[in-house]
Amino acid sequence: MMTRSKSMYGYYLLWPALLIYTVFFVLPAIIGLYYSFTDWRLDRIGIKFIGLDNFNKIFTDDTLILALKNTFIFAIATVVGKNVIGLVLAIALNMRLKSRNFLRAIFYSPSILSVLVISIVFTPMLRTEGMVNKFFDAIGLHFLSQAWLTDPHIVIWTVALVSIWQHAGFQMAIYLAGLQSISKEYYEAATIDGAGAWRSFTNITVPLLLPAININLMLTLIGGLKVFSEVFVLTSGGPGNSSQVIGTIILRAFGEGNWGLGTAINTLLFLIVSLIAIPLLVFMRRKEVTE
Amino acid sequence: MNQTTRKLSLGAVSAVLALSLAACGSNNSNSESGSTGSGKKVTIELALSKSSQDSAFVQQDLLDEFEKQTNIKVNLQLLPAEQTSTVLQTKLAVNETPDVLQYNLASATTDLNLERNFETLDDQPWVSRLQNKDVLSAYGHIYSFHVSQDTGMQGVVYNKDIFKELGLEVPKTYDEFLAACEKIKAAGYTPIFMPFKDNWAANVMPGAAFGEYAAKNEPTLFDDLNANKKKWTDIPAFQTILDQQYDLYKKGYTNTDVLSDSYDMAAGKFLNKEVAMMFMGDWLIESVQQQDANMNLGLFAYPTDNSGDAYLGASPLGGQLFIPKKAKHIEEAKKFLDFIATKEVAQEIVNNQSYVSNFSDVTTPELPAYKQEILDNYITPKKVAMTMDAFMLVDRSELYRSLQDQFTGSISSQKVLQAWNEKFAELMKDKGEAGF
Amino acid sequence: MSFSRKLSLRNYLVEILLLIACLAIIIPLLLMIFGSFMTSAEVSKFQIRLPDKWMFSNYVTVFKEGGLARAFLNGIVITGVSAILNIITSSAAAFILARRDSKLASYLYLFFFMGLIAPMSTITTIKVVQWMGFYGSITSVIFIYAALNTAFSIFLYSGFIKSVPRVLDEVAFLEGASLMGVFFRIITPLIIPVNATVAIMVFMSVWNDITIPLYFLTDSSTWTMPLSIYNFYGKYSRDWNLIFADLVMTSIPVLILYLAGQKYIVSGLTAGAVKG
Repeated sequence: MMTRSKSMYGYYLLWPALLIYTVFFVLPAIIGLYYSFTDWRLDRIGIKFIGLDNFNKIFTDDTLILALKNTFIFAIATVVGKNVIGLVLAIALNMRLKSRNFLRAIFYSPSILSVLVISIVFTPMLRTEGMVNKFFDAIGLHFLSQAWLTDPHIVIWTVALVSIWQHAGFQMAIYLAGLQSISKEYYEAATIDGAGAWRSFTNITVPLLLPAININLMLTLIGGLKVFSEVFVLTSGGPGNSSQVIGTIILRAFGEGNWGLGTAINTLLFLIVSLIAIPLLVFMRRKEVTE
Repeated sequence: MNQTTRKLSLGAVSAVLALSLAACGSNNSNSESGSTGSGKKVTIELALSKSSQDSAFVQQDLLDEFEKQTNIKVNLQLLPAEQTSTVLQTKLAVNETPDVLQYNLASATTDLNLERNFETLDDQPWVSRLQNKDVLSAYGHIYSFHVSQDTGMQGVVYNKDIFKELGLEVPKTYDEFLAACEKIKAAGYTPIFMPFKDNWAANVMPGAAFGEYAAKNEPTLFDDLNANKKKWTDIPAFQTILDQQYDLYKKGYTNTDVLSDSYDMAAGKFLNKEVAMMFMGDWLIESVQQQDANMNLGLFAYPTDNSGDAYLGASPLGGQLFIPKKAKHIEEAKKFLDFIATKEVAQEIVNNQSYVSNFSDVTTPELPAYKQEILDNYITPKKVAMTMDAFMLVDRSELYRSLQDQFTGSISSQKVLQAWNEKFAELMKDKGEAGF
Repeated sequence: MSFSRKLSLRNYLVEILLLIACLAIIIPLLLMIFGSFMTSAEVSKFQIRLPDKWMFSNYVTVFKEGGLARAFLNGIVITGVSAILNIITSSAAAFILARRDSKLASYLYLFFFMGLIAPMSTITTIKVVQWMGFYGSITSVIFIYAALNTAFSIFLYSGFIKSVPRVLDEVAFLEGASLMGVFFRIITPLIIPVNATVAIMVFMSVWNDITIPLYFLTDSSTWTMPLSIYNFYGKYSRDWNLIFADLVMTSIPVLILYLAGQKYIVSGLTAGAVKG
C-alpha cells in the first residue's frame, strides 16, 4: 500500500509551484540574506563583507528600537482587535437574522479595498477637527476626541484601529466558516443538559472552533508583524519617527542609500516573525491533535 | 462535470502560456526597436515625480511635436512623490534606468550619486549657448539640463491685499513681524499657514535663516560642519531660529492642525483668503496666480532679529533633466534635450513660465510683478543668502522629521539639533566623508 | 413558546445593534462615494452629505485623463493570469503534499509555509528577474505575484485535500487512471470552492497592489488601476472628487468579483483553512 501510493503520487505535479516559488521568492530572499552582511551602498562601487556590523547598528539606533516597539504594539493590538471583533461578529451573524447576508457583505467589504482607499478616506476623517472628533463631541464624549494621527503617543494605535476596521471582516469570514462546520446537535445536547450560553460557548464553540482560531491568530500575527502599507499610507512613519515600524524603517534605510542595512533589517524581520510564528504553529498543531 | 472542468483547466493552462508568450513577445519587440534606432519608432522613458507633472518639459503638445519631428516617442513615468527617490535609487542600483529623469540637481548629488550614475553633458551642442553653467553643474561637470537659471527664492509668501486692508507694511524686524501676526489674527485671518504634515515644509524658514546666519556671521560655517570641525549644537542661533518657528505656533498665529495640513492645501488657503502668510518659495506665488491671476501675492524676507536687514534664502535651481549612464537610448535622450534647447522651443517655454533664460539667444520675458520686486528689493541690493540645504552633502529627511517632533511637543529645539547632529555624523560617516 | 419569543427578541436586539455598528463601515465609504460626485470645492470640506449637484462627469474625466481603460486591461491581464497560474500550480502541489506521507513532503510543506513568514526582498527580486532577462515585462510581474501567493494557496489547498478520502483516488488508480487524470477528474471538481476562495484572495491582493508595478514595470503604460490615482495628485492641490471617483472605479472590479464569489468564500475557507 505505502509503496504503491508513493509511486502513484509523483512529485512532478509539485514542480511548477516549487519552481516559481523558489525562483521568484526564495532565491531573492537568500541573496538578500547575503547582502545583509555587506556594506552595499548606492553611492559606493564595490561591496564589502562586514559581518554583523549592520545588525549592531540596528540595536544601537533609537529609531529602530522605537520601530520594533511600535511593530509589537501594532501586532498585538490588531491580533486582539481583529479576532475579538471578528469572532463577535461571526457569532452574531451566525444567528437567524433577517439582514444577515447584507450585514455579512457590509462587514466584509472593507477588506477587499485597496489600502490607498483606506488612507485617502481616513486621513481627513481623523484630523483634529475631522468627522471622528466632531462625532465624539456631538455625543458628549469629548475625552475621546484626540489628535489621532499627530499625537506621537497614540498614532500607532490609530493605525492599528484603522487596520482593524478594514480587516476584522475577513477574520469574521473565517470564524463564520468555523462556526458553520460545528453541528447544531452539540448545542442541542448541551441545552438538554441544562448548559447556559456561556458554558456552551466555552465547552463547545471554543474547542470546536480551535482550527479557525489558530488560523486567524496565525494570519493576524504574521500580518501584524510584517505591517507596512497601512503605516506608510497613513503617516509615513510620522509625525517625526513616532509611528515607524520595521517595515517602514527598511524603506528609510534604502532611502538613505544604505542598502546593506535595509536588507539586514529585512532579515531581522524574518527572524522575528519566524521565532514567534513557528513555535506557535507547532504548539497549535500539537494542541489540535490532542483535542 | 469532469469533462468541463478538465477542459477549463486545460484552457486555463494554455491561456497562461499564450499570454506569457505574448507578453514575452511584446517585451522582445520593445528592446528590438531600441537597438535599431533609425526608421523605426523608438520610445524613451522619462521619469519624474508626480508632483512635478506640471513641468514645462513634459507638456503633451511639446512631446507630440518632438515625436513628429524625430519619430521618438516620450513615455512618461509619473512616480508617486513620496516614493520617487526610492524607486529611482532602486532602478539606478540595478541598472534598469529610465532614459531621462527630472530631479533637483542638489538632491541628485546627495540621493542619486551623480558621478557614478549620470552622463556628463559637457560636450553637448547647447552647452556653448549657456549663460550660467553653475546651475547645471556639479564636481566641475555639467550633469543636467534646464532652460532657466532662475533659482527659487525662499521667505514669507504673503497676501498683499490682506496687508493693505489691515494697513500693514512689510515687517522689517522680528517685533514688527509679531505685531503684524497679532493684527492679522485679530482681523480673523490665519496669520501663518504651516503645512507640516509634509515635513520638508518645516525646514523652509530654518533652512533660509540658517543660511542667512552663516552668510552674515560665519561664511565657512557649513564647510566646517561638513568637515566635522563644528557641530550643529555649537550654534546658538540655530536653536533660536527653531524656537521662533515653534513660538509662532504656540502663540496661536498658525493653523491649529499644523501636523495634519499638507502642502497641497496651500494654494487653496491663499485662494480662499483664509491665510495671510506662509514660509515658502516664490514658486508658490506662480502657481497660485496661475489659478487666479487676480491674486496679489508677494515675498518678503523673514526677519529673525531686530536689525532690520533680513535676507531671502536662495535655493538651488531645481527640476533639471538628467540622462543616466545606463540608459538604453542615450542618443535619443540627448536628442530630446537638443530639441528643448532649440531657440524656438526654449523661447516658448521661457515665455510661458516667465523664466530667467539661461541661453544667450533666448530672451527673458518681462518679469511678473512679484519677481521684479524680488529683483529690486533683494537680489540687486544683494540681500540674498544660499539656504542651508544648498551646502548639504547628505539627505536631510531626518532633520525634517525631528522638526515635526518639535511640533508634537515631544522634544525641544535643543533636542532637535542634538538628534540631527548624531544622524548627520552617521550619514556622513556612511558616505565616507573625511573627518567623521 | 416563551423561550422562542425570548430568542426572537434577542435576535432583534442583536440585529439592531449590528445595523448600528455597520454604520461605522458604511459612513467612511459613503464619504468616498458621495465625494466622487461632488465638485472640487464641495468635496474639500470632507462632509458626509449628498452632493448639491450630481457630477457624473467626474467619472468621464477620470476615465479619460487617468487612462483607466488601459490600466483596467493591464490589471485584468496581470491579475487574471497570475491567479490562474497560482491556482493550477498550488493545487497540484498541495495535492502531492497532502497525499505523500514522507518526511520530504512535510519538509516541503514547511518550506512553502515559510513563504507566509518571510518578507519579500524587492531589490534582489529585481536582480533575479534581470538575470533571467525579462525585467520590465508583464510576464515577470505575473510570476512574482504567483510566487508571492503560493504559500497561502498551498496552505488552503492542502488543508482541504487532506479531508478528501484517499479511497477516491485509489479506486481511480485501480481503474487505470493516471496521476494527472486523478488530479483533474477527481480532485479538481471537489476543490472548486477553494479555487474560488483562492481566486478572490489572489485577485484582491494583486489588483490592489501599488508597489510591484512601480518597481517592476518600466513602461508606465503597463501600470495597473490603483496607480492611476496619482494622476490626480497635483503639487499644489488635490482634486479629491476625481481621486474619489478613481478609487470607486478601481474598487468596482474587486467588488463584483467578491459579490459573485461571496458564497464560496465561507465554504472555501471552511474547507481549506478551518478543517485543515
